[in-house]
Amino acid sequence: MRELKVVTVCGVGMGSSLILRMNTEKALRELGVAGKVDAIDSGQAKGVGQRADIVVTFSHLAKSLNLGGCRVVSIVNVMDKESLKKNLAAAIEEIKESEGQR
Amino acid sequence: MAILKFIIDQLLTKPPILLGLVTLIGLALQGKSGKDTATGTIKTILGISLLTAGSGLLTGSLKPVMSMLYDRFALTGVQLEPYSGQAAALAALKDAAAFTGPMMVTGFVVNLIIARTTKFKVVFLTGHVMLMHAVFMTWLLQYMFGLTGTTGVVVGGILLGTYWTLLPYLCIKQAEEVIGAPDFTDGHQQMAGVLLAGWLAPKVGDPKQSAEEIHLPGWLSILEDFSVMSTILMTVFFGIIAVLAGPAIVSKYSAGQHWLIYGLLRGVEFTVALTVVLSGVRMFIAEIVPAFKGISEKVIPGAIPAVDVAAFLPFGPKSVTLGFLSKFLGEVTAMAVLLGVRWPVIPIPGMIPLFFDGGPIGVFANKRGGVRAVIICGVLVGMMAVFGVALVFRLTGLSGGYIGNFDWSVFWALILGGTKSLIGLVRG
Repeated sequence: MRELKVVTVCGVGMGSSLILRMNTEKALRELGVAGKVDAIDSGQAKGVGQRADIVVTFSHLAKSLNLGGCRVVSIVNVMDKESLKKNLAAAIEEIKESEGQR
Repeated sequence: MAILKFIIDQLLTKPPILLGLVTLIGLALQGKSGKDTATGTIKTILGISLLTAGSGLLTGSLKPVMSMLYDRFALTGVQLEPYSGQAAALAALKDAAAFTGPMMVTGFVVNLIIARTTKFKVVFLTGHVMLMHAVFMTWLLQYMFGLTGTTGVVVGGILLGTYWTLLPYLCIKQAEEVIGAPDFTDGHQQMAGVLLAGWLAPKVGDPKQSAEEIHLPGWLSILEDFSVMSTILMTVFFGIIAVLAGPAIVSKYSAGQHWLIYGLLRGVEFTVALTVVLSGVRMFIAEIVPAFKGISEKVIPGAIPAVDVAAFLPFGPKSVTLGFLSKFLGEVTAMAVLLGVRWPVIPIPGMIPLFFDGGPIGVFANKRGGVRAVIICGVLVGMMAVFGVALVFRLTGLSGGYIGNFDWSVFWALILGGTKSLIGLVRG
C-alpha cells in the first residue's frame, strides 16, 4: 500500500496531539502500513481533510472541525493504544477498499 | 581545559545547541535513521530560536499597552499569559537566560532518578511547559534568593524534578476517576489546583448533578479556537485600557494613528506574536518530546506518563466550558477588587491559563462534586491566581507578564515566597 498521510489534532497542537502522533506512528508500524504522521492544532486543521488520508483527533474536536471527506479516527482516552489501533485498522481497510474500486 | 571551557561557554549554555544535543542523543538511542536524527536536531535548534525571536515580538506588543496603564493610573499591568510571561522573564534574565536549558535537562534527569529509585513512577513528558518552568524557576531563584549559575541550575533542577514527579503522582487517583484507567496523569502546570478541586468538590457539590447534563449554547465551541479567542479577548482588554487611558496618553505611543484603532490593533498584534512563539515551541516540542520519551522508556519501562492536561478535556466537554467561564468570572472579580483598593499591580486575564486551568479543573471538580463544584472551584481558582500574582509582583517587581497557571501563581508563589520570608525572619 502507498504511504498514508495522517494528522493528529488537538487544541494547541503540541501536547496531546504529540502523544497521539507517537502512538499513531507505533500503531502504523504494528499494522505494517507506511505512513507520515504530523501533529497540528485545531486552527490549522480546517480543511486538512483534502490533504490527509486520516485525521486522528479527540471526540469533542471531531464535531467542530470541518474535515472534508477524509477518514476520522475519534479518540477519548489519549493513551488507549488498543482502540486507536483498531480504529486506524478499520479506516485503512476503508481506504484500501475505496481505492481498489476505483 | 581550554576545550572544556569552549564547550561549556559556547555550546552547553546556549539553549538551542544544548536542546539540539538532547534531541540528537535521544533519537540516536532509539535507533532512528540518520535522516530522521538530523531533521529532528535541526528542527529543535530552529524551533528554540524561533521561540526566542517570537518572545521579543511579544514583549514589544505588550509594552505600549502596559505603559499606557502606568501613565494613566500609576498601575503596573501583568498579562496572565504563559508565553508573554516567559518572554518577560527571559528579557529580565538577560545573559542568565542561558541557564534555562541546562536547568530543564537537570530537572528531567532528577525526575528520571526519582522515578527509577522510588515508588513514584511518573515521567513528565510535557516538553513545552518544562522549558517554561525552567525559565520561571531560573528567574525566581535569581530574583528572590540571588541563586544563579551552576548552583541555581542544581537547586532549580532538583526542585523542578521533584515537582515533576510528586505532583503528577498525587494526581493519579483523580486522573483514574476521570479516565477510568490509570493510563496517564496530569503533567502540566495546575496539578496543585487539580488536587485542591479534588479535595473541595465533594464538600460543596453533588456528583449526581453533573455539569455534562446541562445544555450549553453551541457557539461556545469558539473557545476551542485559540487564535480567534485570544484575538477577541485581547482586543477587548486592550481596547478597554486604551479607552481608560484616553486619547492624550495613547497618542504618545500611536505615532499618529487614531488612538482607539491603535489600542484595538494591539490585541491583534499580541495574537500574531503569540502565534509566532507557539509555532516555535511546536517545532521543537515535536522533536524533543519523542526523544525524552525514548530516553525514559529505556530507563524506566512501565512508568505512568504525565502528559498535557488537555488530554483530560474529552472526558467532560461541558465542564471544560463551564470551568473556563467560572475561572474568567473569578479573575475579573479579583481584578475589580484590586482596582477598588488601588493595588499597584493589576493582573490582566489571558486565554491560555483560563482554558487550561479552568477547563480541566472543571472536569475534575465535576467528577466529585457536579455542576456546583465546577462553578465554585473555577471562581476560586481564578481569584487565587489573580491575588497570588498581584502579591508576587508587589514583592518582586517583574513587569509585563507572568505564567498565570495555578501552580506558579499560587503553589510556587507560596513555597518560594514563604521560604524567602522565613530566611528574612531567621536573619532578623
